[in-house]
Amino acid sequence: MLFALCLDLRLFANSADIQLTKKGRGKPGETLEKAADILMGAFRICASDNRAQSADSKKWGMLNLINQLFKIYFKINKLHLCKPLIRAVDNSNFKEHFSLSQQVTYKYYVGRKAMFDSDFKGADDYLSYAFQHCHIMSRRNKRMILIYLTPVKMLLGYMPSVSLLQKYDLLQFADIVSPVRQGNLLQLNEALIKHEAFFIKCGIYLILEKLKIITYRNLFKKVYLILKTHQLSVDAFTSALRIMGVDDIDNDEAQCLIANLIYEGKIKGYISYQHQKLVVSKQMPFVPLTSLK
Amino acid sequence: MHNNVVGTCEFMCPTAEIQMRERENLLHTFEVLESREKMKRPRADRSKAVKEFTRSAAGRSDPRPSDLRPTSVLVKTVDYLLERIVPKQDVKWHKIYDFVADRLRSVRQDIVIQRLAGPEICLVFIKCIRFYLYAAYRLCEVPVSLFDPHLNGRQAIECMKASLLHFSSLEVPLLAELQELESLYLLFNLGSLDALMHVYESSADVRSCARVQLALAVNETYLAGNYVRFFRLVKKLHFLDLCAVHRHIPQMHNLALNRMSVAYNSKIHGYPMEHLRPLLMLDSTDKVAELCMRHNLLVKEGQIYFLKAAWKESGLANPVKWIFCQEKDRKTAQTSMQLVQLLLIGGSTAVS
Repeated sequence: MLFALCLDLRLFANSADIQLTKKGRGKPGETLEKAADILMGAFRICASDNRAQSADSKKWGMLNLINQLFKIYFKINKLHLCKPLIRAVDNSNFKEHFSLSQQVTYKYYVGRKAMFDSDFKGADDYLSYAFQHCHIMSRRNKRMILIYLTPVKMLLGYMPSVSLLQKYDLLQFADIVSPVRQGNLLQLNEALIKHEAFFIKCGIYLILEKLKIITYRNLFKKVYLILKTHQLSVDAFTSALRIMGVDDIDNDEAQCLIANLIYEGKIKGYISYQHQKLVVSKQMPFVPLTSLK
Repeated sequence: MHNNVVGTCEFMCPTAEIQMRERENLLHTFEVLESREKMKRPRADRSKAVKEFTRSAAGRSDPRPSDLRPTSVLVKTVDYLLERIVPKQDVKWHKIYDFVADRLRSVRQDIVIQRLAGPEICLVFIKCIRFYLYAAYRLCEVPVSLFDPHLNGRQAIECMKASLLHFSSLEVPLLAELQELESLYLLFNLGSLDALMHVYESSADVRSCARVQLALAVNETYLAGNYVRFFRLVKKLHFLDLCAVHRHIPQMHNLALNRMSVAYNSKIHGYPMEHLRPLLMLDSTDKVAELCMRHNLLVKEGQIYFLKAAWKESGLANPVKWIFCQEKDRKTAQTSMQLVQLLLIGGSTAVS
């Protein structure tokens, strides 16, 4: 019964909030915050229930409440408030015993939080779990998880297949995958702008921007493979960037981009200013993306 | 829910306050009647006295309407401060800052208490913001005991956040000012996810204008660590945008040297200082050397020896009025008239 009550409270607060904001009264999110406070109260009661037997314990209510709170915190953009809740769940020994659907919802939000914190490996773990264990009939939910899982996987070097994207009506990502693979910055920018509204609405625009550095890396690797030497002239990179449509690039900026890749451990080598060359390691200078943190 | 108090004070300073401050000898030098300046108890010049900022004390009754200034008077007050006080040449500017910042805070307080809104209030806000950002640049080399950039920054951000709300509730949008505001907000909060998301969620005709696009590009280069492009773009900014981004420049200097210490790592070969200087927009090779030595990088015979193992983290240097800033300053705010124009209407609209 507690579940139903909380769900109603949240949905009610949500529409109240939307209505109030429309009328220009009160700051957006105010009502939702109040609802969150009430839910937190309920949560504390559940969490501190040490007395009752396992079967009756109010602790069972915990995960549902937490998921409701997550929904609110994400909506009002106060993700840092999720942290104590996550800690509470980590500390509980009930973790595995909650219903699968609650766990999936939980991992979905924790995964999204991890993305936000740039913990992409963690995000991959949580979101992958959620995706795999999400009910097969719940296509809408699976799609939502995939919206966040896809960019995370891409940043870790795994490109999604077009068939997967097609199946879940997420072909916007297909326009991104190809230029990233090819190192085509111009096309990547065009794709980001084309689907801007969608990416911004889902809150993943900024994560996708991080794909730019991977795009540079892929382009530079191509240059390396073409020149077949471990002493690569900076001119070659500058030319490659120009061919890919970056008109106003010069050797200094090309070196800067290379410097960043070296700094991030994506290229093993060093730049010689004197010889205007990138000198790369003779063994696997372009560290495979999938092996990076 | 009580009705909003409506101010009735016609002057920049309420009569009761003038009388009190005259009595207690609490008038500011900018506020006294000239002919009486040398007397023990100076008298106020009605045309120069401006309401002070005082914290609302708990338990004090609601302010009287006669102590609150309506919108038209607030507009007049802000214009007076920016036209008459800011360009004064006979006083050290940090003293001008103290006076103007305090009086602007009182203006903002009157707005909050009366819950004023509308286009004139939006313009009041943006003038305040221009002032704070200009001050952040102008006083950047002054010791912290005379000017605290953090406090000024807090005022600026508070004001920006309030402005964004006010601008968003206008029936008829003030497009140019909103574009300016979004650009300043983003640049002052460079690297902040919040500010960036905010810009992305704003309407297309704000986001797509040249000014905001340039601010977004600067932000992107900052986040990507692209120090070469960062400085190239910063050079193109409108002077006020430069004032906004100014405090973040040392961070970029740091980042550049850090990246380079890894990428150009070599015990034998150096990197010419004179080549790096214009890339980082530093004023002289001496300044380059200074920066390198802060991080324990060896400098010898005009060459920097980037050594990953030598690199030492160091606190950020304070931002200074680098030459490229001074050039922009000269073009935009050198004369009193230019400065006043900058603060009242944002200066020339050209992105030079």
